[in-house]
Amino acid sequence: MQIEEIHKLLDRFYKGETSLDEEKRLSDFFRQEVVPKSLEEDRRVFLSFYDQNVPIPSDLEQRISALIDSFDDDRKMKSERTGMRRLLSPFLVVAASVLLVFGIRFFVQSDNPKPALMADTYQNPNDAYRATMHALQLFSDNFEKGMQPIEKAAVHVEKTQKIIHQTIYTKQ
Amino acid sequence: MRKLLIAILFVVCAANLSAQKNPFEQFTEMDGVTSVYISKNMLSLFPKNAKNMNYGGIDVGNFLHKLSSILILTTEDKNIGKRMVSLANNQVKTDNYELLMRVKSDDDDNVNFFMKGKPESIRELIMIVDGSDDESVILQFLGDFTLQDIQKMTEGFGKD
Repeated sequence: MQIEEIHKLLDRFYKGETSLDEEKRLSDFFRQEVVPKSLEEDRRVFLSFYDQNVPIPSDLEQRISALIDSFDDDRKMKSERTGMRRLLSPFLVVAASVLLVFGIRFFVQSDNPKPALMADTYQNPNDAYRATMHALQLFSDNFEKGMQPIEKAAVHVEKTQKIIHQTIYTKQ
Repeated sequence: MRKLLIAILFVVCAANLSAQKNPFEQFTEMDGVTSVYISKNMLSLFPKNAKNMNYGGIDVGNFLHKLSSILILTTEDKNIGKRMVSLANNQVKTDNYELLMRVKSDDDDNVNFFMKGKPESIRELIMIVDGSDDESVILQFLGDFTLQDIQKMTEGFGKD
């Protein structure tokens, strides 16, 4: 076979215009032991396209089914996880509400800091008693100040009523 | 739905807890304010029928034993007093206390009495003294007493 012809066929092959026959001829040519050096590159390209005896790994089917199985496992794991979530959801709700309550309380407290606990100022009942009496005295003084005018007014009202009463009776 | 109700209940309880705190506690922390707190336990340690509990022939102990606590806040600083009194007045306004009596004395002291509850069952009584130049005082009685108890008690002290 002429080198010229091979070049022509290769050109047509690269353009996708070769017939099966012509490709067979190219294939036969490249499968010879000796190929001119200028065509070495073309040989490798052609054979990679044309070589139909690509070895199929014997465990291909197994590998594919293993892959499919792994998809299935993935889905199963996901559904298990959502199942767990569904089981835990009541606890999550409770935990969230507890957190919310504490959060609100924390905010309210930090907004208005309060002393820890009201503790007795006096440990001695006598001191406490004295302070109490002093407070009551102060309270009474002020309370009386308010009550005195009322009592005075009440006395006046009573007097006036008496006078009215008397005048009404004497006139009758 | 039930969980939601429980959650709401929780919040309401929490709000209640903080609402039950004595609102006048905040003043005990104020700088320049002297605070005296006397608890029910301490009140119960007072001799119930001792001679010196009689003021003007009236048994003051009777009134004291109806109290659950006494809080006394005093300050002699004019500015602090002003702040304390205005804060207390705000507190009284927001907490819907009832004005019992307002007294303006000759020496320009303004005294306000507030209460919570009904006259026949007072749960809280507050006296706020707005001293124009001298000390300002807040007095708080907690417990369950009547307006008559107070009147009797003050009469006793008045005769003394």
